[in-house]
Amino acid sequence: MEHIIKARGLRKYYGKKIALHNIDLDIGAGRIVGLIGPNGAGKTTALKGILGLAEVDGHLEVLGMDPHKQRTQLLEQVSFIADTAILPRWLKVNEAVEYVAGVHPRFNREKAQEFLSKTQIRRESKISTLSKGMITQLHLALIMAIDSKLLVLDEPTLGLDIIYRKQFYTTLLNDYYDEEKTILVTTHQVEEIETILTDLIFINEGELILNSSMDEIGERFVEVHVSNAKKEDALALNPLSVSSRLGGYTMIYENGNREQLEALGSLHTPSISDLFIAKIQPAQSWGQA
Amino acid sequence: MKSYLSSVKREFWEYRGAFLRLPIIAAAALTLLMITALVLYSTSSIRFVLEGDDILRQYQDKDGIYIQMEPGHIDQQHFEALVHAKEEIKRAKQELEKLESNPMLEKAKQELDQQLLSIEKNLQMPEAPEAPGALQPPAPPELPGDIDFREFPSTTEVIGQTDEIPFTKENIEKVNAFVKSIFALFSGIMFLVSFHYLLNCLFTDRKDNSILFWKSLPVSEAQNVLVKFAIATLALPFIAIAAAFVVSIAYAILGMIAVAIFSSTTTPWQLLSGLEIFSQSFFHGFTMIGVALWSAPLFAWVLFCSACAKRSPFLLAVLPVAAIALVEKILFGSQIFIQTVIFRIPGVIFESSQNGLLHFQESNFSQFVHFIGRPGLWLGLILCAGLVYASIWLRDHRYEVK
Repeated sequence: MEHIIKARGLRKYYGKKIALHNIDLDIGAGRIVGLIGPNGAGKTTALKGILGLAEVDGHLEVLGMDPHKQRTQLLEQVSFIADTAILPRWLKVNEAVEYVAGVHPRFNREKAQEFLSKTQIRRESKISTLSKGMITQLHLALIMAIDSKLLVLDEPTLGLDIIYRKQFYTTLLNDYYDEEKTILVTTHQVEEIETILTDLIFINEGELILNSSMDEIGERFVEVHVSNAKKEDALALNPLSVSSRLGGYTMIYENGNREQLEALGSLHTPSISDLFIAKIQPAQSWGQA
Repeated sequence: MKSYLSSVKREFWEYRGAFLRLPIIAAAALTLLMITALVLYSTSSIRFVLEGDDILRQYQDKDGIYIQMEPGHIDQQHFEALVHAKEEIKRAKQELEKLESNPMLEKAKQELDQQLLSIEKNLQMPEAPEAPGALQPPAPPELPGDIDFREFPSTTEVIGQTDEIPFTKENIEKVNAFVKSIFALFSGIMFLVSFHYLLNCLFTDRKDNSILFWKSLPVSEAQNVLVKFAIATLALPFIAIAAAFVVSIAYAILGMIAVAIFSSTTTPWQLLSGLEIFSQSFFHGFTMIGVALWSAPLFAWVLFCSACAKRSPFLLAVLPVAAIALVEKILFGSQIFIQTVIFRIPGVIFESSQNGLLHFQESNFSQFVHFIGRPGLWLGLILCAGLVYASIWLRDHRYEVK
């Protein structure tokens, strides 16, 4: 596997506060990786390290380069959208296109114009006059016209309405993504990206608590819908989390014996959000039981 | 190269108003004023306001003194007035001697010396003209704009007194002095723009978070910072020269028209041949490079404050300087630090004729060479390099506004 991102013993402390604690990470080409974690878990720090925006300790390679020392060179092949609506408000749409075309050797101006022509955005408009959704469309049009190897998205759909959010990932998948490209995305709207991810990473308090492909997750984690009558039997098998549902309980098991579990109730693949809660807050899930 | 060009364009997009519209509007306004003046003068609507001589004559009646009269035409009243002026001058000199010597004072003294000479000539008295005089207070040097507008009426004298005043060296010098002040005016405006720009250029993108967009593109912070610094120190002064050049040409054309209509002794071509617009723009360009080099540490300090500030780059730029000056004053009673800083302000240099500093009024190539050899210049440039480097480092490591 060709490593797009390779991290060994990644650390970052802000005073006594731990942002990243000994993280090992490998991300290969052609993956769409979701980096999920609660606020303050270290997601942004990790992304900043990968993008060379902040220094982190330990060994970190992105496309074989040191992100902080070779940032300018790296950014010819790495794009990112850090947050919605951070495009400068005074800039005009056509100036944005011209600027990126001027400074980015892998930018395809025709492609950007093509994306823009599908939107309502007028070329002469100032960014301050565009709606938040339009600004994101513009940003996406600029980024997708760059032939990059890695695209990093940090809460790209924050504050957008449902239509734009849906459109965002559809466009990304249809018009940008291919086997050569890697996408790393963080978001709190996990259900939006559930179906498009190939890999899932959970991070909490600076540590990775899950790092596996979506295929593995289906094998490793099972959600069982247990009836009230079988509650004690189910608890005896050490579920990862327990939550009540109408007429019984939902329990998530890690590496459980499928035959045993089938006897307890119907088996399902847990959703990312349920799995996330189960992994991040097992104790509290117990509390609900 | 293409990337640098885009970086430059970016700055001109962001500061379109200050970099391009402002000088264009100022040039247009000034040209319009001159056209209006000429039209009104031609139609005799505002003869009084425009005709410099009227204003000067008012001066005479009120204060009883005026220096520019033909020798031999002095009547009793004027004679008394001039003697009175001499007394004034001596008193003024005594006042000046009490003050600490500084370049501005020297400049004032020099100007007054010239005026005194003129008076002596008018009085036709063989006394040695040594004392500097104070006919009228010297114009405040930092405000070239004010100087221009004050000079405006007296320069139109050429237009107004065509029958009496022939085409002489002195008269054409006045015209050229006006052209010079056009250059000084536009340079002054653009230096203000420069400082405004430097204060903001590494701050606003951090404040509105758009820095993350700029940083998502393969442009190094070194390129960013250096382009911004070069725009403030070199590009803007040359925009000022371009604008001043256009206004000077307009002034020349209007002057020629006026001469053609109203003068019986001077031809437009004489006026044109006497004008030094091209050589003045050329030497002003030299001066601007000199000013950029001499003031570079000050510009770099402002840039650094822009890269460093969390809240207000302006306060960061001003407060430490004021604090150091105050502490020095209290502890040692001296003002060396603040003097050093003030000497680096572009507006001060162009009026200061002291110590071989480059100034706007009489710059030429040999002065420039002399100026290049000054150790103070090189110390300043070393400081400038350090501050620019620090700004780049800050952009790479501490760009977040929290």
